[in-house]
Amino acid sequence: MNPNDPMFDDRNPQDENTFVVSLKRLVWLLALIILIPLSVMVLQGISQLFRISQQASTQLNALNSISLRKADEGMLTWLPDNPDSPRKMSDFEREQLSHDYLLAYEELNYALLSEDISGLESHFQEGALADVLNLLQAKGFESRRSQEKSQFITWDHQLELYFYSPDGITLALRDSYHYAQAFVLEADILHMRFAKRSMDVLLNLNDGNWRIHHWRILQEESLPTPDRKPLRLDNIYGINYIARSAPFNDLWPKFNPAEVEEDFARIQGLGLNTVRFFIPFPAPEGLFEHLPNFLALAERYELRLIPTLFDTYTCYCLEDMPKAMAYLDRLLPYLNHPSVLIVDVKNEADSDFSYRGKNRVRTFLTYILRYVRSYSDKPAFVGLINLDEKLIAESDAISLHHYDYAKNLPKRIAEAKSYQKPILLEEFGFHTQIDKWPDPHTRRDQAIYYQDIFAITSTSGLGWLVWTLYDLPEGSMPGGREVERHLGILDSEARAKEVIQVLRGHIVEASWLERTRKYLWLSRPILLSLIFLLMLGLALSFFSKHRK
Amino acid sequence: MNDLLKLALKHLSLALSILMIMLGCHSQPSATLSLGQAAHGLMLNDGLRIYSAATELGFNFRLLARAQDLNMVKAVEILLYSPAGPLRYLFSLEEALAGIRVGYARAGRCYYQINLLDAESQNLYTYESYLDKAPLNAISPLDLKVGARSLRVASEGISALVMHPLDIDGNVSHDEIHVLIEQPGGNILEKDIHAERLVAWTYLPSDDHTGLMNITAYTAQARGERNEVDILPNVVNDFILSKLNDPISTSPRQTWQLAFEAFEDVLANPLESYATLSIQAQSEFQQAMSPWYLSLNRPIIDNHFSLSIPSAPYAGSYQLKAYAGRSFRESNLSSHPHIPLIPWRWLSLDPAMLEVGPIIDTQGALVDDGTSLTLELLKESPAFQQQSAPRLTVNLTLNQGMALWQVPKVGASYLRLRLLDHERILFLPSAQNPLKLAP
Repeated sequence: MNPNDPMFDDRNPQDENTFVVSLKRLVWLLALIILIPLSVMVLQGISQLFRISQQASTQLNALNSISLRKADEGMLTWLPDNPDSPRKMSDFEREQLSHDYLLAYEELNYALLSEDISGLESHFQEGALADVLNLLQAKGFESRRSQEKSQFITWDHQLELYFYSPDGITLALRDSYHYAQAFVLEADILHMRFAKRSMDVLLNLNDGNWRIHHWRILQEESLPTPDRKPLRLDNIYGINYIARSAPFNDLWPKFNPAEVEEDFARIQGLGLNTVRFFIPFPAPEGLFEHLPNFLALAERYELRLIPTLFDTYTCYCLEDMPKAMAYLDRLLPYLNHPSVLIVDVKNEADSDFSYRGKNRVRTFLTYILRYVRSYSDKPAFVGLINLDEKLIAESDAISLHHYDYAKNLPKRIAEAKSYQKPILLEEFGFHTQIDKWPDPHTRRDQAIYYQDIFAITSTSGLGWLVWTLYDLPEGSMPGGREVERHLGILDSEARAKEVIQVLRGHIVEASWLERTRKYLWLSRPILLSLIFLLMLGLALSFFSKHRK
Repeated sequence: MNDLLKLALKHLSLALSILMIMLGCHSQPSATLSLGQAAHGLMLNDGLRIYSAATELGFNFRLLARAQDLNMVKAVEILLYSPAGPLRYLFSLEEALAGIRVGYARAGRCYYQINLLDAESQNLYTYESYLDKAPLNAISPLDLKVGARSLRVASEGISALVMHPLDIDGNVSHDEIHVLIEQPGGNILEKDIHAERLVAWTYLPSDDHTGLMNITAYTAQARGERNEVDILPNVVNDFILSKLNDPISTSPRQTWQLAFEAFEDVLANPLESYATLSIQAQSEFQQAMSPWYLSLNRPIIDNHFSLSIPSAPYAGSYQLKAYAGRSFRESNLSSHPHIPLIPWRWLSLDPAMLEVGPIIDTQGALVDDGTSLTLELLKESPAFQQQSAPRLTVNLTLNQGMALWQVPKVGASYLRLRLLDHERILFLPSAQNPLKLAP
């Protein structure tokens, strides 16, 4: 007999159940006795931790001191000092002076914009302070009348120490700097002057701050419109380059030299000779690391380049000028590369007219155009959707972007030709998104469109750049537009679309149906409307019969 | 009718302005611009001109136009690009024809832009040029800034006179400044300076004589207050150290009286003050048991400095060194014992009761109350066991030169008395060593 065998268990099951229940209750009770104080302790611990962290945070905040406002770096350089100055300036003194001097101009610009003059006396005194206050009073009067503001931005200060007094509190220097002075009404700019100015400045050290005491302008020169550089664009056949794996803004941060080389080889293989590429502003990560390689690859495959600057930048703010000019100065050596054909300073700048102000965009880009044309060996122009007289006047060539019907291109070319400058059809393209509502296209449509465009460019003697090499399945598209993914002349696997035949010189015969097929989408709503009307008619006749 | 009147007035105003210009009543133009030059596509002939001039009161502008050109212009806008920012002035055509004065005072070059607003097309026609405004004559008071307010004689000049003479508008004038420097020795130096890059300056040469150097500066039309620079003696080159009492006793009341005087620089200019004296004194031979060292720095005031150094605690000879500027003096200080002897006697032998005193110093006075007397009970004779540790050490204070002490029995054989720089060894009375009560 197995005593463990339940068959031989003579205990009352009722008793056993009672025992188990009691045991369970006991366990629960013990658990509660242990868990309740434990949870109270844990909660208390958490609250203590929170209290300590709050206390530490409060103490940390209490110790926060107001840090010194610092001027932007890279705005100022020192030329060799006058050797006859009675006192030499230490590095520490020079740093302090540089800092105070730049802050004075920052404070001045702030006062002009805000009409808050409270900080001016910390940076100006005597004649300079009088000038600033007089100007603000005059401006205040004007601004009440017209709600306009003024701005004064300076950059690239080059200081030459002329005199530093033996007691270290008076200093005379010559400053050569670039500036932009403007009147701004709402978003747009009324008047603006860019110039390089040479000025004598006297500063005094008071209360540990260098203050501008007096100033006197010696000379100014604004950038003149440079002479036009000889340029031939009628033999340009190229591509607007967007990398497949790193489209648009991702090109430089995710730069893949092997992919770019493969693409350049393919572009060359297609018989094209020019690549337009984009350099965002501010300069993206990896730009200056990879740009030399990009240029070298273009040279290896005998491709001409059209760098497009200030891509994605739409502010055209005066306060961005120092950084914009630093960006340009850093790019200038690369722009002079033999492969660079022409510099495009901004893509489709006229699209920013409506919300940034026409004058603002024009004045900003006028200066950039003049700067690039003056300080680089290359001609420059600006990418435009619609021709703009002012910007064209400052350009070496005219850029046309055309995504409209091919038949409308000759009119635009004729208009551009009236400016008597070389013209480049810098962008044109045709999508092949078959499910694009209400304007689906086939690859054959694309080929026909290209053929029509080439017929016009060939008769007009225009060079052209297509948009773009590949369909782009990856990455984000400008404005999130899906159609941007289907503009390639090759598909995303680098397989040729029909348009390649056109590029190779084969003629695509288009029937009248093909030429009008794109309008067939109109038939869909018409058909639906007819069906709806038919149904409505049937219903009405049915009801009228029934009533009778 | 009104239109006719306006037209007549406009033409009359134009005729008057032309007449004034022809009669030479206008400001002398510094720049004449033909409107057709700078304007972008402006179809105006050169009958339309702008005259501009920088005057003492600001910039004057005048538009000269023929009647047929006037219909095009609605308003005249003048922009000045000053060192402080842009200035904008808006005028009607009538004002521009009659002459506009813009109250701009800052000397130097100022670029301006004149915009003419076309009444019909609302286009702006722009003209740019500049005016150079010269500073006017300096006005009183001239501000003479003297860098370092003091100089040392016969030193390289590190002080400078810095000036920026201002005209009535606060511009730094180019006027020649005549500077007169009267040196303490009587020399008068003259120099002509003028502001260059907004600052006029000259070194202030030092003199061989101390005193005030007076600086005066004036231009043809302006003067300022006289300024001064103190010409101070150069660093100490010589001085005299005198000991007024040496030697002294080791009494705590005794001090060495020293006098430092006749501080002179290399040109024998007395240094009234402005120098520091460093003094060091120490035992001549570093005694392991009783080293003494003194170091202090004191300013010299009125070319004299007296110093009292408390006596060293032990009699002996001490080395004194004094430094000032480039000069150095050395001397010896000496002290002798303060107490010739320590009188004592046993008042009783069992128990042993010791009386010390009366203790009289070298001048025959009782030593000060509170002077510490140290008594040490020794097992061995210190003559043989210098380093033996005392069985017991007691400090007593003297009262009227006397101290009384009952010697406890601790198994000691000797008693050492120490008072100031004196020491004495006594045998303790015992059965084996019956001693008399008094020495």
